[in-house]
Amino acid sequence: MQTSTLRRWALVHKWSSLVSTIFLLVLCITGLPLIFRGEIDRMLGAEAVTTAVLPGTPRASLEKIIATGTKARPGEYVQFIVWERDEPDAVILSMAKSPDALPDDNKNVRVDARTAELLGEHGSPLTDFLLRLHASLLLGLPGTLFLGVVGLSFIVAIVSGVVVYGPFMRKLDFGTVRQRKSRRLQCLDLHNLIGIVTVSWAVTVGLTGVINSWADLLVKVWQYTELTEMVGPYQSSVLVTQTVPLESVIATASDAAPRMTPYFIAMPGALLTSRAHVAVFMRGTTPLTSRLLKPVLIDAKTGALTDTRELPWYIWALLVSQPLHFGDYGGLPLKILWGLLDLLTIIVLGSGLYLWLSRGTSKIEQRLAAAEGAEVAKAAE
Amino acid sequence: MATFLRIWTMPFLLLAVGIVGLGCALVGDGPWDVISWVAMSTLVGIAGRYVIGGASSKRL
Repeated sequence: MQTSTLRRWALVHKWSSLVSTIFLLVLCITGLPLIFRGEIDRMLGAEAVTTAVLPGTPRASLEKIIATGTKARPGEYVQFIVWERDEPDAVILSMAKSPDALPDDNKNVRVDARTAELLGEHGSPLTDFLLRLHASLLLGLPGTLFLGVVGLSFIVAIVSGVVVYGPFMRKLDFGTVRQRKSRRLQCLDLHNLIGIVTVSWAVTVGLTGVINSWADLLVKVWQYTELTEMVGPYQSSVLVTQTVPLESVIATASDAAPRMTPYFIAMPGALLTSRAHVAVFMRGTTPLTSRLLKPVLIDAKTGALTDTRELPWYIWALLVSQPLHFGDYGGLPLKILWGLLDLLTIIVLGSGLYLWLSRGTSKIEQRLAAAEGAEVAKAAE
Repeated sequence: MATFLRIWTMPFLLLAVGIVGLGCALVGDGPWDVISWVAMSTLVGIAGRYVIGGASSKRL
């Protein structure tokens, strides 16, 4: 590679890293506990476990479960009813001040799906705070979009880092960490080594983070295009407050989407449905398809199926990227590996920052020569 | 060519291992999970070895 080309790539690497490093450190540090969010919530007692019941105990009706939620939070309305993949015996009710409020400030309560007993709030204030800090720097949508730009900058830093890796490793074996030379060289070697080893993971987590930062916008695009088409003549309907029994809604949705199970229900007025529809979001039964949803719209007054269709590719990309970002696919072992990779990324970021702070006034040619110095000197002996 | 191979063989192998690990995590449970754990552990293990254990080239 020509020196001028190397200099350009090094500049790209330097500036794309510098503008994003502090924010990436915040993301890595807050992301670490969020990988274990469920475990932390359970440890803090925020997630009461379901009690054992006699085998064959029938499921409580959804109306009874909703009644438990509204009793726990009087004056609030159930907007979403969610069945978590890992906890089939519990139902999460997402509750809002009004049926058509935006769900940003919703409170979630967990109810036993068999006994309709209240299990408590879903999530803990600590992990909720960390999630808001991680997802938006506590700044709402502008913060989320800003972090998307930081993620893109991270991707540029990775790509340019891979490009400049080659010239710096010309005279060195893979994995060389020169401990007996200067601290700066040791730091550079660790930065190069860990960066190149974790590149596939870092690109994946960076890209999925960028996609997640567009989640609100992507959902809005879907709402204003496909959902509007699906709702059709119901758009100007008045809010339906008394729906048909939800068990019949689920039965209709299951007929419309065979070999799928309900993931969540959006009640009339909530985001992701209309004022006159109950929307059942069905999911597949295999590990991968269980992340992919299919909306089924049902007339809330009559219980009749009005429309169902596949979600567009950009929503699929969002749904697949969310668990991949947090290592949420392969149980606790994968979460632990995600945590370790996160720690390694913190080392890469920290060492990069140290290399910049200790750079002095040397030019890229001098730094390259210094990086190769030990091997060159050895070859000359 | 020899220099190119020396520099890039391991990074490409590790990239392939990472892609296998991430792909298997995406595809499913059971054996896929195990392959994913092994692949991602390989990345962590190689990086961890140099971070904790020091260099392969203490001679430098």
